[in-house]
Amino acid sequence: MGGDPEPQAPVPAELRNAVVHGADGRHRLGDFLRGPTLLVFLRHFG
Amino acid sequence: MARLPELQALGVAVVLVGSGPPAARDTFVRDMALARPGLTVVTDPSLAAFRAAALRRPRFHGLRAACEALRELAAGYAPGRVVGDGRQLGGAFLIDGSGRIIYHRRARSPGDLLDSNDIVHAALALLVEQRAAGRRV
Repeated sequence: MGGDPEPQAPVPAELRNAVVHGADGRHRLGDFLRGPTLLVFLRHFG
Repeated sequence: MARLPELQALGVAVVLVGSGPPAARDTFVRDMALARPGLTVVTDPSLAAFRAAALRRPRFHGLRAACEALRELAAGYAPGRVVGDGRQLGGAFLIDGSGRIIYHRRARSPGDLLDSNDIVHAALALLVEQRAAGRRV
């Protein structure tokens, strides 16, 4: 993603394809964006 | 997380993304009692997702962050050990069922917290829009 996505823009492919670690191993982040979703990026755990 | 039940009632799933190692994700889920339906916790130590979301990662947090930290300490909040990237800031995106971002908020400093009222209002607006669209079909 080059710049900030504007509201109403589709989720950038780079974000959907980012690899994350969940309870059962690695996934694409997009695997969790299958319906209305609030995606929250934490500053850190703790 | 206090408003999680409201989001669930609106049909909105919640995904939390941290930046610590996978083992820290497990500890965080256990300690914060986050193993709940409708809530997923993942981590991305590479920060690729944070970069893709254009979230800030300043080299220095600056005077504003120092003032925020002092205010938190004065309010009785003593932060624990940072597990994850100490420079990375957070943010939030509300995504509708067709994959559009309908609300976004990127933190400008470590103490720039999300307003849960804004998020719930955006989710309510999404629900209203979906119901209106359903009536038009």
